[in-house]
Amino acid sequence: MSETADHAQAVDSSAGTAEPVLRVSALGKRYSPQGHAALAGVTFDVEDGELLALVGPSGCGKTTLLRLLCGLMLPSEGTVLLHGRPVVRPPREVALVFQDYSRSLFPWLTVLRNVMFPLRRGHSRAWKIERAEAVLREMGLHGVARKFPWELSGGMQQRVAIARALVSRPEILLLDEPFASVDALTRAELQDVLLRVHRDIEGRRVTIVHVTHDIDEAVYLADRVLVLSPGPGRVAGSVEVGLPRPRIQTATRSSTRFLEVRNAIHEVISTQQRNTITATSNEE
Amino acid sequence: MTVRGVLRLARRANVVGWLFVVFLAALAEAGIQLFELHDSVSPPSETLPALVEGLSSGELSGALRTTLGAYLGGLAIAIVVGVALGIVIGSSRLLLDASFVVLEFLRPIPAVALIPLAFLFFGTGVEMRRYIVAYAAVWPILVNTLYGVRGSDRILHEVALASGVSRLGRLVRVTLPSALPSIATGIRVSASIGLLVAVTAEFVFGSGGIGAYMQRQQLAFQLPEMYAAVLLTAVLGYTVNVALRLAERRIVHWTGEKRVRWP
Repeated sequence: MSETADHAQAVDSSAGTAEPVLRVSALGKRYSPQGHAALAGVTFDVEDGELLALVGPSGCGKTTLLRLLCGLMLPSEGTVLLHGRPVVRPPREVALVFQDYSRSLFPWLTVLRNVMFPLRRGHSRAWKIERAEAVLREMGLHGVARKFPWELSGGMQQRVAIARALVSRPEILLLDEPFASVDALTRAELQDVLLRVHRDIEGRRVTIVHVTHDIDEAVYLADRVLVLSPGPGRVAGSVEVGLPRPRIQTATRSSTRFLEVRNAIHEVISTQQRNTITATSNEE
Repeated sequence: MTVRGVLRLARRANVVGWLFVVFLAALAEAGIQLFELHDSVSPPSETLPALVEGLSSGELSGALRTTLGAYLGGLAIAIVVGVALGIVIGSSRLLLDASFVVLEFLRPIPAVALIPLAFLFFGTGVEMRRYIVAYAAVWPILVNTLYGVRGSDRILHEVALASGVSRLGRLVRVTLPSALPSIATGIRVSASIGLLVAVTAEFVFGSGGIGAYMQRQQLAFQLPEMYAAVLLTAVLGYTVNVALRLAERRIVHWTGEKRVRWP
């Protein structure tokens, strides 16, 4: 109970001038000391309860950025602060959903065991099973707990991956192009699943950083869209979405505001591309 | 039972395959009788009684026990050593680089060629033949474990890493299961090599087991008894292979799915 109360308080205070959940400052990453930079000078904040979308063309370092945010990798320059503390190893508060669900689920474990996987030692087995089953029920997966991942459709597998990410009640959910390899109908369905997770999962909100190359998806889901540009990856612009919630596939996507935001993002991308081309021709 | 049901059962038990075996046996019997090859080949009608006689008299069944002891014992040692070494070497870039040339050099040497060499190290007793089998059988298991470990998906390791699983935990919960299909293949290859080496070693040194029995019968021109030993060896190999396949299907049940490899 007290956990919920604390969380509610944190949400309240974030409306004011509270510190962001994640603070990314001057982040840079080179894979070798002399090699080219995958990211350079990336700076942004993620507010508590926010759904932030990161868009950008392939090669702009989106995946690298996510790996730095969740401590799978250490930056060459700059810092990632989680509640003011630098991220040096994967933090408990952060969970990651990988792009390729078919590779990120353990084929030798049932759906239930896959979801139980991140639960740390020190809990009883019964507790872990109960916890995993609760999340599966929440995600509408209770019927498939005893199945193996490869017995499920792609959309269901990605739901399992999201359920697994949620099992240890993370504050922040990072998603790396999670819906890139499912069909359009399933994608729409999964987008709404994600919106529900963001709004209310087990009576609380989850802060979400969602990486995608689909601008429409970013606008439909997010509170704010960060546009990344490649070579090296950096933030080219930030667009406030300002669409009312709850979002509804048909109504939201056909609203004027939706088109405005989408155009604004396209504007940022094309301006940035023009600049890159000019810069390149100047160098020559 | 319907006709369809009978057919399905027949396919499952591979009745056709067994009928073909009976057909071949009959063909051999007829050929040997027709061309009077009794001097060099024992017909099934004499081999089978010799097999039953050998097993019930205790001479052949004793030899079988001796061979099984060396064979299964050696295979067990090879599995433990091969899997453990494969996982340790495979999880470290340095160890892999260090041992790569040696492994690739030792691997192509036919196991049987090592028998005279192994004799110098291990002697000829049952105890020692166990180590010869283990030595010959360890390579396919080791190499397949290595490839299995190297082939385990990076994403699965990252899932475990992001969940705060320790290095040892990742070894047990990610690396080992990832490598299991490959390990199972290695064990099946080793099982046939192990039997080959076990019987050959007995044959060469004539100190007990099916191989020595075979050799004694050959020197005494007891053809049916010798062929009975050959048949018994074949049955043994077949049984072990079927048992391993069944175990594999139960343990490595997920391999119907195509796994993605990473370099």
